[in-house]
Amino acid sequence: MREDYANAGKVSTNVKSLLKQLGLPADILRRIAVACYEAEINMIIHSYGGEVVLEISEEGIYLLFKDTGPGIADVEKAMKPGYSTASGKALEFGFGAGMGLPNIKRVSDTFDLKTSPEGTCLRIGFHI
Amino acid sequence: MRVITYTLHKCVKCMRCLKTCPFEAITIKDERVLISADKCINCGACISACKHSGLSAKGSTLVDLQNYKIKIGLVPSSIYCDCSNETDARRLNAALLKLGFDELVSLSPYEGAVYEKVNDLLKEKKELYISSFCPVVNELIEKQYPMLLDNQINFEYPSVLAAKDVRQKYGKDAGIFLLCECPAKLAFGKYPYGNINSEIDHCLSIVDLFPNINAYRNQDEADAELCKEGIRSVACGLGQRFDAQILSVNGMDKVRRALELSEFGLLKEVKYLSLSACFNGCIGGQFLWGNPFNGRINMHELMKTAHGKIKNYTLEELQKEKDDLKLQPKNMMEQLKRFSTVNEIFDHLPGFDCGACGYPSCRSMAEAIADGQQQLGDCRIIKRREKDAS
Repeated sequence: MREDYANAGKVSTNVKSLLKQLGLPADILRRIAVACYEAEINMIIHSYGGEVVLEISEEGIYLLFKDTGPGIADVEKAMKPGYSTASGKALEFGFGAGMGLPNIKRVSDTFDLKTSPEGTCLRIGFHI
Repeated sequence: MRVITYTLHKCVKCMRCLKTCPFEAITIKDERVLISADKCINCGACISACKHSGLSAKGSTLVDLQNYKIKIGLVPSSIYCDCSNETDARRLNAALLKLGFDELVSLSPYEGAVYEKVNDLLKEKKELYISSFCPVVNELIEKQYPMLLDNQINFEYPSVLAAKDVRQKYGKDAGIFLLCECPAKLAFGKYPYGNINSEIDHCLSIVDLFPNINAYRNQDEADAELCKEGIRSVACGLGQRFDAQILSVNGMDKVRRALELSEFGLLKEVKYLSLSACFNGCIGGQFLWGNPFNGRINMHELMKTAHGKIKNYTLEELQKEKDDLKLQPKNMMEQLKRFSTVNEIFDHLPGFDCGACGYPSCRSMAEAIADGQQQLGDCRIIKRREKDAS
């Protein structure tokens, strides 16, 4: 949901508690939690709304973040630490430090970002 | 070690405990309460919730003093939370001695030592330290927040350190009695709950001693050793040092929120998180006579006159002996399979969390069905619906 800051982090909390039940090693869990939270916040701040899909297989854990636009204008810039286009309201809530995407890339094992004005699709993976 | 016991004849089957337990450790079977030893962390929430004293935690009794030649009492700082000044504290100590102890050892210098030593650790650069002298929180992290085990400071409990000292001084003849302010601490001693490796012989619940203490109170005075740092450690948030990015959090719900946020790495401004499960820290313990509101003011008053010196320990001496309780990696695919089975069953259940089946929530009922302990027909709502349909 767009700009639904009150519920920010709910999806990540659910994902985290689910993965905890699976008994994954702590360091992988921590990386997934951080990445999932950052991506969820990104979606809330920038997108018109979207969905999160969690895939678990024997090779690894994959998270798919799919939104309905408006896309990232300059991916190269967005990947730079500290670059942010967050709106005033997001900054008020303490989000939008420009570390989202760089952080996600840092902690994830695979990182695949596709974007167009119709929507952005981010797929991140973690080997186990 | 589980310390909470259930008394059948006092139970009125109101199911308050079932709903209250934050860890879903309680189930009801054949109209009897069962407490899961795996899930319970001795937080005592069910004891407060039960209005008929059906759930309780008892320590050893003063009769046990007679088994020892030398009787030593370990006294936590939090016991003084209903003393408004130093004289009161000295009177309380005199009353404690009259219970039959040969010597009282104040835990304050040990509590202070452990509390202060954390500062040394903070000089090292690490994102976040979590410490707790609260056994409930430690177990909570172990069981539900395993991601934070690396952030946890593994210091020994003050009472355990003190017991070691006393044992060295007096040898085997001494009986070491710990006065406990909460149910969880009853698990520290050999008796009554069988912690065989402990130097503490018996754990006594303070509230059970109170009639005896009150009989002798206000007569004599005896030395009460209190340290400022010790008081600070038991009264959560007293003299909180925000400048050093140290934050105290008290109360189970807030502790859990703080842990939840730290798992996402969101407590960036906090370097050290000091947690206690009871409201206002140990002075909110269930076995204390006074209340945590007055207690906080009293503790603040006592801090002004406290002049005890804290013990000196090196970081190595404080480290808890490792007992490698780290999470064993489970077979993930098996867990996943179970998870989807549980989900499937859960979809069939009404989702009211009514508790009539004896499980605290429909999800825990679904888990029980997946494990073969229950059947879908054991759900009262489903049964009723079937009956109505036919």
